[in-house]
Amino acid sequence: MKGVAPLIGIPLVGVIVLVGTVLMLILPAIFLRMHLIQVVGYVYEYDNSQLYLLVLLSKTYNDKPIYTQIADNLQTGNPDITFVRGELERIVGDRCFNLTTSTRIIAQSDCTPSKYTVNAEIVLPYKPDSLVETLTLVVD
Amino acid sequence: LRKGIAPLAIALIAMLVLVGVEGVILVNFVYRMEFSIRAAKEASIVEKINEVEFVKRGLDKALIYSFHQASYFIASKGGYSDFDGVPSYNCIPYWRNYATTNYPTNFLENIEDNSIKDLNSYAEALSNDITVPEYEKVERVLPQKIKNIEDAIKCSYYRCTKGCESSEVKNIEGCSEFCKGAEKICGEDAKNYPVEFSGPGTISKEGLKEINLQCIAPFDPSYTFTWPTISTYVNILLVNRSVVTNYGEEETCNIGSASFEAYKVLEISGDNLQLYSDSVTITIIPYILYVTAEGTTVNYPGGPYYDVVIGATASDKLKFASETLEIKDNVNMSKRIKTNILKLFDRGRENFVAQDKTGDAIEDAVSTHDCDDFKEDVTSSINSKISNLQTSLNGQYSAENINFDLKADDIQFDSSCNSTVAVRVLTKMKDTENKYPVYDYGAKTTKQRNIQLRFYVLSGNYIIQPTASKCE
Repeated sequence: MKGVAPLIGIPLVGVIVLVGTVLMLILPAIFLRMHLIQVVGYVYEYDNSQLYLLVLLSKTYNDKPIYTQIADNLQTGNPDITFVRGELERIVGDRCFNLTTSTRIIAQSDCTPSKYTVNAEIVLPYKPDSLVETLTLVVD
Repeated sequence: LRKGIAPLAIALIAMLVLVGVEGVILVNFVYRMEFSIRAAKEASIVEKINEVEFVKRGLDKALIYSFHQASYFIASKGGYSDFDGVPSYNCIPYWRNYATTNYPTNFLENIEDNSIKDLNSYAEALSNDITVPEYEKVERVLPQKIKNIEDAIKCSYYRCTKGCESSEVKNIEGCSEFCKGAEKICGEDAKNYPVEFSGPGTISKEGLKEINLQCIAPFDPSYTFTWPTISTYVNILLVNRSVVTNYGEEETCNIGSASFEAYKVLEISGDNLQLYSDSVTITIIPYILYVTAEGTTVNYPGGPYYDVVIGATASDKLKFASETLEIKDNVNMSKRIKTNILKLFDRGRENFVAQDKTGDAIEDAVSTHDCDDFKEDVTSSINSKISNLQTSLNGQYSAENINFDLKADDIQFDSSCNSTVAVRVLTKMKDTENKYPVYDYGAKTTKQRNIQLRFYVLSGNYIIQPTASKCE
């Protein structure tokens, strides 16, 4: 039996060292790669969310720019902008979304999003102390 | 010993293989990492470009909001931004002080000046890590062709080939100049024969005569004039100076559209009032001789009213700079803006500056009274006539969506005669077609509001100094 022990022990040690070395070298690389993929994926998705907002603000509804309809409503309370939810649904598909300002909700889906948050400043009709408002779009 | 070495050799070989495999993976990974980093950078560039796009779109809207705000503000002050040398009461100017008129000929410049202040407030509010430059100029963009017409007028010549023998032509002062043949009029003298282009319409001014006088009216090619310099026959409507006694009256007299039948007018462009012939090589420019009371002023503020194009220019650029990205972008812009502001001012000028319709109404009212009549009766007559005038104007301009609101808000009687009165009429002219979201400094709110032009007219047979107050 004494002669057998070294025969089993040496390869075992070799395998352990080998596996350890491989894990040590490869795992960080794998983790780093996953991280980068995540980062790029996030930024990519973030940009898409930003484009959703840009698309929304570039569209017209009833032949009037949605941008000015939202801006006018935020400053004066008119016109009615409940249509924004429908327009956003067309843009983002079945994803959850939420379009808000610092004080009010403009449009939101039935589910609550939390993943990608983009902000954009829009100009409002003239009022000396309130010229711009930040729109926040959260999309999953 | 050999038996002991064999596993070690296998392990060593396996290790070498694994290190080799790992090397391949690592090389691949490094390559992918570089790609990933580049993708992340590209994504961040797109993000910033999107942000710049948001800012530029915001500036676009800001220009429109600023113009409407300035229009509302300046119209509420009768076209003035300050009242230096112009009597005013409660920040409303006297457009007419008996025979003296104070029409704000620079009302559009005042609107532009106020627009730029507001626009720069927006630009400042939009500046964060993206720097938005200060705008230096906001002005009405006239098509290049119209800008150049002034040059053309400074040195132009007209040669009439038909109709010169008409007695009506001969009788019109100065008209013979047009029949001398290729007479070139340059410099200031050219302004004695100003022309104005206009769209076709109807001749509505009673007493004016359309003379079928055909003239060649080429522009001096030495001027950079973008309209074709091709000689074009046009009918010219000659306006007899004796008929047109006040500046502005002639604007209702446009060339009859029949004059252009031969040219098959296809379209009247919104801004530049060009008439296009069906031949692409010729642009026909219709002219009206524009005879002013002074006979020397070149002016073409009127004509058909369309939306205006407002441009904003900044010599600096929008800027963003980070370690990896630098953006510089032009922020000059021009926007077509729907507005009736020009029409409001012109209709106001027509009725209360070129003519004194309020004064006529007051004169009409007091003519039925004697000195001994009760003040209340005289006041009632005046109010009635002013009300009639208001009704008449509202009927006349209902198609133009202008609402007149006239109110005799101060009637002063001569102490010795109750039919000798001075009447101050507050005149409000509202554009009922459009509402804009504008801020009212009195109400301190921003709401959808109509633009309203306000001014006073002081008239009557009792001469007093206009009650004035400083506008704070």
